Amino acid sequence: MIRSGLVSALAPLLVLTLAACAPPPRAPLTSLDSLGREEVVLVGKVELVPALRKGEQKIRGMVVGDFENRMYLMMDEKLRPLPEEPRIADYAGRIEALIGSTFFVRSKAVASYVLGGVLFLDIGGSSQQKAYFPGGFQVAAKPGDRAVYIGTLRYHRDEFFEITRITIADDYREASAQFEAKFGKGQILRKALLTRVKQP
Amino acid sequence: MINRLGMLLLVAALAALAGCAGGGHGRDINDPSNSLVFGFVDMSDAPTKVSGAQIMQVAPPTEKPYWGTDVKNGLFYTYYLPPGSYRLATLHGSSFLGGEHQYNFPRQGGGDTTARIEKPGIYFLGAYKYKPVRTGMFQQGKFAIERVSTPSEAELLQRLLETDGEIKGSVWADKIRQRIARLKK
Repeated sequence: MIRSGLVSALAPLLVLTLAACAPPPRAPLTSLDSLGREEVVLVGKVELVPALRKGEQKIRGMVVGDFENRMYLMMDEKLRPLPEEPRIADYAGRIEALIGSTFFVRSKAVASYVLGGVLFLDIGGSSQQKAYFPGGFQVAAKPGDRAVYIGTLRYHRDEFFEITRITIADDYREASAQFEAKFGKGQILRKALLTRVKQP
Repeated sequence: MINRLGMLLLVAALAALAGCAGGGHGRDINDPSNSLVFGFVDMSDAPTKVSGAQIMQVAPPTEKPYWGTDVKNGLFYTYYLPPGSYRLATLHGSSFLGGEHQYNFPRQGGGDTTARIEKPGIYFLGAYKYKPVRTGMFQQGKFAIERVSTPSEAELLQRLLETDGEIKGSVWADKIRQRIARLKK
């Protein structure tokens, strides 16, 4: 009983602590000049089909972090299964992808993996609810790359957030135009779409 | 089979929910587009009994997605649901020693505790037994529910018929009797 009361009182605090203590995401990039020698900018997009409808995501009160219409892509250089409920450490180096918008994030110029996705459906109230999305995709960046286009990771879902289909779409032309507008002409955006790999 | 849904058990202030029981969003009990949705949960191993349950309308989108239910000895039900997709969202209850509890079901996933209602009718979400799940000191409490074979759908419908005065005087009485007869064939 005491424990229940304590958890109740701490629940909003725990949400804040989780958000505040979570390791940083991959930083968005505004200029290629700021890239280190062994770094690359990853360009891609996450889509949800159908898109989030009004009321499907609830963010209440004071919440530290950016959750609205964002999918957290959990990344690692090592392919591994994500725990059923990811730990705080699993959020390290995540891509905070605004759903439906192209992201440009700084990354190490080595191969890495999308381990899975997390979408916060309810946060900041008395309960926290998340939807999880399958991973198992390789990002084929390699040393020497400066910019890599990984495609549009499109999750089809039903009204209960069951994932019904996953596709990787090639929207290179659109992404390339955005890349050029952001970073200028003359920069090479190498296309290396995400590929499915077998989870260990 | 334990249906381990990884659900969260939270202790919460429930004042906002208190007035929701049996909420029909202003619909008439005899509206021909209504469906009866019901289920049962045995909370004998839980910190509290169930005094309320909420069903969330996930489709079509609505400004008021939560539907209250009536609850009688673990049987929860509403007979006001228009066609759409629904999920069991929360159970709640309180006890002198345990305080007030809200048992949240995960938003993700279809399955037994969800219903897609295309045609008006009677939809049984199933009978379950609450199972506690151990967690750490500062972790949110968790629970699981296990599908059980008793009470059966027919037994619960019979109980509904016998205990709910509003149903007795509505179009539901005949529909429930017919359903029980079909189930007993």
